[in-house]
Amino acid sequence: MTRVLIVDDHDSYRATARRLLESEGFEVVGESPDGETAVADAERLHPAVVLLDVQLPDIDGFEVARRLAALDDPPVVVLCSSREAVDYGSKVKAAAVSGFISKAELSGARLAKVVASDF
Amino acid sequence: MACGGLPSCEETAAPATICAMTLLRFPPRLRTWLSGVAADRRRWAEVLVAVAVLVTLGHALLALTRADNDLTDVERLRQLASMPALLAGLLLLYIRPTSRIGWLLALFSLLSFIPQLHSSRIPLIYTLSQGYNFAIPVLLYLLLAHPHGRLPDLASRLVVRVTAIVAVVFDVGNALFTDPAQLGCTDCQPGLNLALIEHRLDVQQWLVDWVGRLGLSMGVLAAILVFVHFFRGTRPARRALLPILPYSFVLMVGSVVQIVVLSIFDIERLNKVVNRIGTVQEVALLLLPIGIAVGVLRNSKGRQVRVSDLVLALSDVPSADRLQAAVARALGDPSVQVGVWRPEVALYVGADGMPLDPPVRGSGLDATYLARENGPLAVVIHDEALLDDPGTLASVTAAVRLAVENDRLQEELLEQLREVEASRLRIVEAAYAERRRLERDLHDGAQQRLVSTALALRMARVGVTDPAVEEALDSAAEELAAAIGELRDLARGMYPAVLSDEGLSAALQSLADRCPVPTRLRVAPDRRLSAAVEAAAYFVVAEALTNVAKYAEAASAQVSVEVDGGELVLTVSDDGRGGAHVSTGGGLAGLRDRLAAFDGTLELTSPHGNGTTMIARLPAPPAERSVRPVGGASALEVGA
Repeated sequence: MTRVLIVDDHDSYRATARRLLESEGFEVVGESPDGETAVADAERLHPAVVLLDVQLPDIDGFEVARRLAALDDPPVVVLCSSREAVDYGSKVKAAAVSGFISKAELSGARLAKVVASDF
Repeated sequence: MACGGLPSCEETAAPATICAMTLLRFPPRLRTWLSGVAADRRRWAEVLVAVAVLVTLGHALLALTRADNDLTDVERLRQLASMPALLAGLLLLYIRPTSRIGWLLALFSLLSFIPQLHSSRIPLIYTLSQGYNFAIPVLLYLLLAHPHGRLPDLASRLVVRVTAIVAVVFDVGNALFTDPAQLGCTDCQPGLNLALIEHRLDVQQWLVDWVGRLGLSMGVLAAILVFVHFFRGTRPARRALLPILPYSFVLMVGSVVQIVVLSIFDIERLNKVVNRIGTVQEVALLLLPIGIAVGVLRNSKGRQVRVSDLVLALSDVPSADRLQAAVARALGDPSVQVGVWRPEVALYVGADGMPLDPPVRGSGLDATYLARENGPLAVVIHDEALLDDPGTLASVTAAVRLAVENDRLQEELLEQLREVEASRLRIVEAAYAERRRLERDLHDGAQQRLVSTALALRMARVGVTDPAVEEALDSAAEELAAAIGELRDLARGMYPAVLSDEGLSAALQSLADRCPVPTRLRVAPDRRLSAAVEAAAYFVVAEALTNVAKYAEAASAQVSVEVDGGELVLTVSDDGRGGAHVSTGGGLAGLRDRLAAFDGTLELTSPHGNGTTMIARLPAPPAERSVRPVGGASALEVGA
């Protein structure tokens, strides 16, 4: 099973996403409410995939992605937002991430597809 | 004047003639007409001048056709005395119909004609001709009121009043107690002097000794006062007084000599002396009206020129020191200080920027204060001698009032304009801040909930086997997805997140990417600008591209952003059908208004069939180091 870390500052969204992904066969190893915690959790839990919200209360998703990429065992990072990728200009393209999923369109299949495209 | 304490005579300054009219019993209708004439100075002057013209011309004709051998030199000269006065008076009244001096001269001309009737042997005319000295108070009035036509001080008023009383007492007294036949007049029939009561030498002597001497003293005093006016006067007053100094001098010396002669010798001797020095006096008197007219014209001309110079100098709102210099020039008083009222410090501030102290009593300075309804305006501190010349002072202070008030109004207007501009900028900035806040609220609130709901629906769908429920859930998910999409577009249109997060060029790139018309973007600025300017610039391009997509029927569009000397230049052009224009209430007009709030401009070139180019310029100060969220909504920065 693919080990996933969910990073989002909205509790309800984290809970829904966890249930959704678990129902589609992912193993959610942790949930982080902000950027700093996310980096620490990733270092500790070694997830294969990090589902990363762009807008976080402390550092933004792009910065978190940069730090995750610098880890010894960098996870696959998938950005996630209620906005669209185009709303972030060139940042999504430039970021060290495998892909972008609009929050409303999140599903296990979608996530798996984005992750697969990275390998 | 001696007219039974009638106040109206004082106020209208209409001397002996009006008084005489009042004292005599005219029929009511005539009195009404005459009082109408008296009230209307202009009509009064016209009547007076008409009478004087007739009388003088008649007299001149008489004098020329008559061989009058018993006339002395003085009397011959005196026959002419009324002519120059009349001419000078006419001249002044022609130039300035309201000139008091003008009609005083005409009156003088008329009164100085009275003695000419002396040779008449008709009792009534002879009797009236004894008003020998009636012209003298008017003469002194002319001297002392020169050049403004008003007696400037108490001393002058006293001299003229006493002289008027003296003239009446002297002439009436002589008329009552002198029989011409007994005074050596051989062809004077008895009863010629209708006023005669009794021939009394002692009364005549008393009149000459006391009343005559008093009158002569008044002449000396008047002459001295003229010199006092001259030496105390301002420069313009001196210029005007100069032409009457010669006569004043002759009057002074002549009167002193007569007093001395009268004191040492007797009236016989006096008459001989009068015949000698009288010639000089009469010649000087003939020239006096010319001097008066010249003085009045000189004064008014100089004043008009200087005041008009001042008005010209003040026409372009001058600096404080230039204002003061111009006023000093106009008043001919280098000590002039002009203070402008500064409400913020509640002080009059001088040209040097220092508070101006009001002049102390006895310092020789006086202050003329200018005010308007809502408070003080300015003060002009000047030599108190200028109060003698109220005309010039009034004109000059009126000019100062105009200049200062103009300056004040301009300042107030600019201040209001600055306030309005600042408030307009604040309103536009607040509008952008509000858009940004709404976008965040939507994003953090409704959007998140809808997204969570969409996920929940999707999960619910997983375990469902009933096709009807499945269909209902799919349809709900579809609707929800559409709602989320619409909400996202709405939020983006309000204030794109990329603009606040990444700045103008990223936001414009995202805009260009989403534009249905293929759009090429060229962005030069390499720095973040203030949030409000970035927002203004973004919405200008957004509105322009919306127009391109909606109306231009263009195949492609171009957006370029350049910084040109501290100015952000946004150019949006397309290859569409052109013909765009800024219409009131339209999107472009709104853009222009918002740009104007930032001191920006909008330029539109849109020839028919030849594409549209819109160039917007707005001053672009770089963002401050700590980028303040638009409108200071810092609390809204948190959260995502």
